[in-house]
Amino acid sequence: MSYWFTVAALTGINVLLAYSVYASFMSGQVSIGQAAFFGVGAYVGASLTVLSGFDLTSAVLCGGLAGAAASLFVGIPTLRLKGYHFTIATVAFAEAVRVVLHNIKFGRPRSSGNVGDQWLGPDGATGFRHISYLNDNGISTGQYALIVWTVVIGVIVGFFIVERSRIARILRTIEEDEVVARSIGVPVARYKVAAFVCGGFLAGMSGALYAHILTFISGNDFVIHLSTIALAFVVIGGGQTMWGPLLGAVLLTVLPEILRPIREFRIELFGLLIILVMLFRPAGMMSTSTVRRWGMALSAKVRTTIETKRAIEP
Amino acid sequence: MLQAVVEGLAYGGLYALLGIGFFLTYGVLRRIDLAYGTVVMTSVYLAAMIAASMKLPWPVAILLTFSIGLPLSLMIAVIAFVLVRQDARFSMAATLGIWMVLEELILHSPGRGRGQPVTNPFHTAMLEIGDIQLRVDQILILVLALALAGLVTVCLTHSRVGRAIRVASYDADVAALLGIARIRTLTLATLISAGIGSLAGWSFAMTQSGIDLHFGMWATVKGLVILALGGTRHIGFIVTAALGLGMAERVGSEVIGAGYRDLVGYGVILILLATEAFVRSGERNLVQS
Repeated sequence: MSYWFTVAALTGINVLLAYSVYASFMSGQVSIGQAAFFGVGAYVGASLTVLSGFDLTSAVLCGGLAGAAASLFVGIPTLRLKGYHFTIATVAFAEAVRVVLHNIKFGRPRSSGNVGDQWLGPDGATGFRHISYLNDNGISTGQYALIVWTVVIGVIVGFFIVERSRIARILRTIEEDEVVARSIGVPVARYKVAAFVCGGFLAGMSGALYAHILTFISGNDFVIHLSTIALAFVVIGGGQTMWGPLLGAVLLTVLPEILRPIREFRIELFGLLIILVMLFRPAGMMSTSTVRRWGMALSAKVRTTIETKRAIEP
Repeated sequence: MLQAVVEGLAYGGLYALLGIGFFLTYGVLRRIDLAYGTVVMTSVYLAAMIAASMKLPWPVAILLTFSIGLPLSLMIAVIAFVLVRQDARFSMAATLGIWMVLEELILHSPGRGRGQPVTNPFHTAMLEIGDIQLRVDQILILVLALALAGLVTVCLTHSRVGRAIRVASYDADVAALLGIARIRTLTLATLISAGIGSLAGWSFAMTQSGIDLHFGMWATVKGLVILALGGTRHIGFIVTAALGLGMAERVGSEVIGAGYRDLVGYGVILILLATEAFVRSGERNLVQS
């Protein structure tokens, strides 16, 4: 059972990562730099619990803030760029952060441990070991999965509210046509940066959660492939509606676990699905028309049930 | 330090070769192809694997690289840029999917993504100029890159084929009005770009005496960095950016350590992109005021 709780926690973390991509996707920006914010969040969150004795909630929030700060650092100057220049900037930033995380070393010596394993904190290419907060505090994987999904549900509720607000309409207008958005007085750059920073915050939080369940992280965990997988969640699930990233992340994390024989070919499956979706359903599996159709069908069914009940009752 | 500068310039030849391929794909064909580096890696890797198992001589292995790389590039161009064509973002996402599939296929190939040996016929050859020592293979690659850059520039600006390629990729309607066979022209441009990519991939593998799975991502990232530094307007800027990047990385590794070598290029690109964004923003504010 512990294994499935771990899968559930990792699924929740992937959902958060998918939403971090979706946040900037809403304004038409394709970021391949989420791995950097995820990595920064993971290192900051883990450092705080391991080296500074922070509790998990504060560490995860600080991880999120670190991710947001990193995204602000790259977002303010580069979100004014058009076309693929922004994507290139995020690629460069992600690689730069990976190089730094791969080489960074701080912390203190451990009192116990084998030879070559006596460092507490990030240890350059060796990575960051002994992130034992869950073990030290008696948090089981089931409890941790619950914590992760509480955060995920909070984020989903947040997106549910935002999607029905003026902010989402403005972001979608920017996505459709920046010139039109600017002509009606929308501060385009400010909205794009805000969306990108929200994405950075979510990626940082998910990174901090990831570090604590894995107990060991290294700079090479945060390569561009991670960003491309996060982007795949949104592209396959659908980038037009908030349900798309949720569907994409859950499906693509759980499916390889259920279908064991294909697990080894997980990435090929992702890639193939992206190609097929782009060929036959570019809006992704969950488009706005699908959501509208399902919503109408659901409300019609509820209405029919109520009317039938009323007709039966004397 | 002088040795580092010269070595960096020579290594920049490899970047220049890679940059020319990216320039043709992104700048001339106007395609955001994230799978470019992976396609190059796949063709060189498979050719090296076959050559090693069948003990083929290196010139045959190069021919094998072309015979794998060219059809593969063409197939990807058809899938990502002909069949998927509603939005540039969709095409980019499709190339991302192709990148993932190809890389994993290499990982599941008999070579398992591990390093494949590549023969370097100039392995021990060194050139000495005063106190400076240089590898002959890197000098040859630099000369090849400069020659190719010149050839591509002349072809694009002074030949009928080059002009047809630029028109065909810029505007399909104008191309049709001018009687240009668009599909044939773009196919030719794709093949040229793939050919240069294969050459760059083989040159890199030769200088390293081998190739592994990581080359694909490395090539894509470096290619994008060179493109961002040099822009997509003139091949001369691309070559300059590539040589500058090679030199900056080599000198940077002397100054801040080999572990942070790649950070130099990424730092430069971020600073340049940020500067460009602020300049553009300033221009827009000036126009608005």
